[in-house]
Amino acid sequence: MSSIFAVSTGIETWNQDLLGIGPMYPFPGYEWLLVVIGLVTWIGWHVWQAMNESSELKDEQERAKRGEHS
Amino acid sequence: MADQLGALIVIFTEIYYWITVVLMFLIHVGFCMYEVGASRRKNHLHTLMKNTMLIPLVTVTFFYFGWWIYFAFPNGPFINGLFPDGSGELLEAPWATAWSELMGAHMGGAPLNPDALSPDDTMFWARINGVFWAAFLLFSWTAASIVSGAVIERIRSFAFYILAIVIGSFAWIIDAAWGWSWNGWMVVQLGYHDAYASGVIHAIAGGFALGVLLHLGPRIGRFRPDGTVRAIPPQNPWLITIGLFLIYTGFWGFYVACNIPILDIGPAAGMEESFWSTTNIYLAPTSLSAITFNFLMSLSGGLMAAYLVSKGDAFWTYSGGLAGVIGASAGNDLYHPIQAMLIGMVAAWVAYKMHHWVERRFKIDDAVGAVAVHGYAGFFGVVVAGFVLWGYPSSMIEGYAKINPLGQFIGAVIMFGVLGFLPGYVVAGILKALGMLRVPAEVEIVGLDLTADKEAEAAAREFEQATREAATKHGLPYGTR
Repeated sequence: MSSIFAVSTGIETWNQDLLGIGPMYPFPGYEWLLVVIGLVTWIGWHVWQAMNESSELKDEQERAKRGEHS
Repeated sequence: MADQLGALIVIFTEIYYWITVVLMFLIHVGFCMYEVGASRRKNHLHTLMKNTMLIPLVTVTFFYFGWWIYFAFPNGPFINGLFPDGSGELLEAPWATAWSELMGAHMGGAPLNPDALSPDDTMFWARINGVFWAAFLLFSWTAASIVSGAVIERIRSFAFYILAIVIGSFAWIIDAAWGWSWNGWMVVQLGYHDAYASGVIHAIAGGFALGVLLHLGPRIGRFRPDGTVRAIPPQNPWLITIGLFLIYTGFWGFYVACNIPILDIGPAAGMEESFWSTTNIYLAPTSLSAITFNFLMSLSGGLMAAYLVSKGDAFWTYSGGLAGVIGASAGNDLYHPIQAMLIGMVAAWVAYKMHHWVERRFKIDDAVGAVAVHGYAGFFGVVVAGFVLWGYPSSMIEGYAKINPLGQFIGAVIMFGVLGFLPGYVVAGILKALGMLRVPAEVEIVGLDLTADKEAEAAAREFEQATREAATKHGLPYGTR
């Protein structure tokens, strides 16, 4: 198993001057990429939600007109 | 306590864990509300009492043997002995045996029994043992409560109480000794990393519940003759969702209790000076700030994904939020918040899809989706940490395996399968063979609260009659409110 630890996604050892440690998270330096992915996810969620809600409201409007609510 | 700084650290640590216990009580308020809300009206008292009584039973058994197991079993008796430099033996834990003087009020002075305890033992454990035991106890209640929801409306109370003790005071605490301690063999040999218990509490409890459900069987009428699922509408969707919201609230206490609040890890890092930090259970650095970011972002990812995949269903959206936190928990001490959000989203999607697939394919009736939200999301959480945290050190101690995908996968299988599913399946099988697992069909059909409901109705009628007579006696027209 030792050969697959030639690299680390972030911190390689805790046995160092801990005062010198900055970011703890994996892939430091790629925060910009995470922000982009997160932004696309967030906006995409709104787009999906708006489309889905419009479709549902249309269905419910049809059902209401057919008198299925009473 | 001789010096002021030492005294401050000890008392701060004591208060810290005490507060987490109070917060974690809310998890159990939430579970009671959630399960009662999910059950039909005819079963709600039985459901409430079943979940309530796990509290004293797990507490007493955790005092008697659960706490000792945590400290005695890190070598995974006979398992660590298979590896180089592993002893495989049980460890001494004289502060945690039920008869120990440290399992009670103690001022930290010289031990009554110096053969069993040293003065250092008494000084260290006197003010910490009770609150640390209690924090772990609340995790034990949580493990049992997870199972409780899956089995409502048909399990016998006796059977559930035995199962609660097995998962709460035996199986999960063994997994904690193995994979959630600074010296557990899974950490040493596999690099197992599970900071906020994706596997250690959630996957194991979900696996255990699945083992029980295979023997318990579905509720009567749950599946049509053609095998398709009938929905059993909850009696109170409000109670369920507010209950889940309370579980979220208590989960904050859980997260905080998983950390050590303040420790000097400078010497362990090879530094000459001190370095005071919050640490995870593996004594490696993290911060309350980090886990606060990640808890909220993984919750948000879970809520958003579950809302999407369930088309806004209230139960599954709230459950998905929980699955999101659970899925990111293994690495939430270290992830970037946006990583935690994305992992939470995938975990919630996995939980929802797997629950419905397993239900359709294998006819498993998990009344509240506990196997999915805790079991599958927890398993996923352990596995994904192996990739995202690949190569990170699992410990401050050099020589421990690093975090890696294979170690995490093996760990997930141990949690969900070996310590979760297997004991649940075996014990439920024994109870079934004894005819003590499930209530009779006739009782299930009319409702588990039948006797309690009839007695309550009779008492209400008698009181009504007495009030009517009193009204007449005082010249009041009956109907006065």
